[in-house]
Amino acid sequence: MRRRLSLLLDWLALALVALLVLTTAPTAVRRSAIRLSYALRVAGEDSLTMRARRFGASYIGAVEAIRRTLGPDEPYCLVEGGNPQSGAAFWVRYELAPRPAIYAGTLAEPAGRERLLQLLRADQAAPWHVVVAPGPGAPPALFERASFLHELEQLQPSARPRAQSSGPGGRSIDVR
Amino acid sequence: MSVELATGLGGVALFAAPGWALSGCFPALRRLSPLRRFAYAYPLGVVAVAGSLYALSHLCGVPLRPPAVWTICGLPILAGAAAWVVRKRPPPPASQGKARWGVRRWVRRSGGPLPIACAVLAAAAGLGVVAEAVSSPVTDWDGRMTWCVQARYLRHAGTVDAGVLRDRRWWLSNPRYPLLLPVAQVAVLEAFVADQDSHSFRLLYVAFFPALLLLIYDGARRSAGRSAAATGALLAALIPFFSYGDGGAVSTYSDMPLACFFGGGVLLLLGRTPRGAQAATGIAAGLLLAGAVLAKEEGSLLAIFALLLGGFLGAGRQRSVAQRGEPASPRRQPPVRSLAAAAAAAVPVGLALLLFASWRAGVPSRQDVNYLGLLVDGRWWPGVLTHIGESLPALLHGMYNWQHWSLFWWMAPLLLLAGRRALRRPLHRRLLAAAAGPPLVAVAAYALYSRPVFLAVVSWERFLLQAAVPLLIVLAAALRDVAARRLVPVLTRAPGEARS
Repeated sequence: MRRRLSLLLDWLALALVALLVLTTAPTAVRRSAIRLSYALRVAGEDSLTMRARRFGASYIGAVEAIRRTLGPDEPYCLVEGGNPQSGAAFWVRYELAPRPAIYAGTLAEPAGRERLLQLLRADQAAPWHVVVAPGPGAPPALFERASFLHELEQLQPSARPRAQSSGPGGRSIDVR
Repeated sequence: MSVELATGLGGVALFAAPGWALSGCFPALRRLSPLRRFAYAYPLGVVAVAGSLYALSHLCGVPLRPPAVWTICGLPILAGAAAWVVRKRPPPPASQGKARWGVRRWVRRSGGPLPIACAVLAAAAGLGVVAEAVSSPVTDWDGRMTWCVQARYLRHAGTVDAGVLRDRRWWLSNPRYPLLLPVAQVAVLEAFVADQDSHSFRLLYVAFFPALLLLIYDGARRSAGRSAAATGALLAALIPFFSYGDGGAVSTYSDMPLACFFGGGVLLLLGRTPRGAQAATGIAAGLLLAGAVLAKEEGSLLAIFALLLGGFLGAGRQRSVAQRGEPASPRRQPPVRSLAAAAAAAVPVGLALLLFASWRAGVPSRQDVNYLGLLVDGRWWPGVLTHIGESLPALLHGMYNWQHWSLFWWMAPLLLLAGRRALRRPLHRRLLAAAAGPPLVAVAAYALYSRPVFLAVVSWERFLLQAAVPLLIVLAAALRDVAARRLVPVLTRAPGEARS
């Protein structure tokens, strides 16, 4: 009985090894072929085109515009426009690095907006510019601090407001 | 993409060449075939180049700029070339007539058709990872949140003590994580004067994938033979998480490098050391484990664990054998040799720990979890009992995710059970103990952290990846045991032989 069990176990283990190879190998090879053909198709693209293709032209366009406005050492306040779990603020911070960022909070909740107002009003040494990361894939927006504060003060906590700002390109504070 | 590819390949050579030269200093590595030597040479090169830059920048204020990068890369290459010229080389063996070359001979020398088929399949799987890395910018979560953003700040400041890291005011994620891999990124970008948005450094991470597969092959080949070793490496190449997962070869996480540093260090410490080369092998293992310390937060614990496992426990086991009066096996290493290798390995590990502590002292914590503080304060009670149970479903969900692991976690326990005779060898038992290291660190973290389920969801599979080298070597040995019992008799049975 024990010998039969051992035999069964051995063949089951061998069958699972074979099955693992048989199920994953075709997928791995197919995946490689797809990625290789894609890589050959986009060969010769520069990094700007590649980023625009991957993240969207409007997103990368907005990042480039902010980079032109903010010097490489110039700090900024980063505000989360959407769900803080979405990672949007991380991606914007990465794109704008090496500019140092101060995380100023989230616009998505009334309490967050209140905290944001207090922070920007209280800290006179806060950076001159505010960048809003609205959500994954949505282009970030740049505001001057004073105009951002003004816009923020106009917002009603109970509604889903859209206020016109005086930021570059006439962007608005978009609370999602 | 062609520029990115050229820069990326140059970046890989930037570490592989000094690593190759450095590996020539260690008899245990020098005698390996070129491919197996690459498995150790590449991670060694990353430790030597990025680790030196890390230390020189922090301790001496050397700027992270092209002159420093090229000098640090050039020195080991020059030293290795000089050593190669000076070293007394044995005369080539007298030729036995004209050497014949043919496909059959090549296949036989390579261990038969199975290892070749495995190598071809693994290469085909790996090509996709390379293609993805050269054709797309960084898109992974931790890469953009932690490692790559850190690299940008370091590159701009030209130092590992960038003001952004040292000033509490600036918003960073995990600023106290060790910086070996971000420094390596900076080295690639600076050496080739690449654009800020260049993603050429992605190949630096991808190159750890073949290193991982070759480490598995090298370790398993010594104890399980070529066919089982090649199958073990192929399994690693085909597990989707190892290639495309968050933390896998295609990402810019530090887990794949850590798996190579830890796995390579453990293999050198546990493997048989050439007579008279204990200290040299120990230093090679120590350098790899120093890489583990400087690559990731948990690397320090894993390096200390490997030292304990490799040296001191090995010596203890040998002593107990001697006390029982059993005859010493000629294949067993005397305890003094295990201790000598571990003591030599402890030197680079100790230096790396000191460097990390010194650098970290200047970086204020932001939102980092202080596990040691939680432990000291006693705030882990009673969570230590309940957290494991809470996170268990998340752990199982990760392991049995078909998209990430396919059948691997169904197969692995069964294969271990079926091939349990392989565990009679002390080397395999100690490798299995080494494989338990990263998951144990993870479980300890879940026990202490206030949100264990969240932490388990985002990190468990990466801890499993860190254990890949010792685990897959043991699985390869188990496979060999089962195959020798069941497959070899069937495959070698004469065509007309009746079934008994």
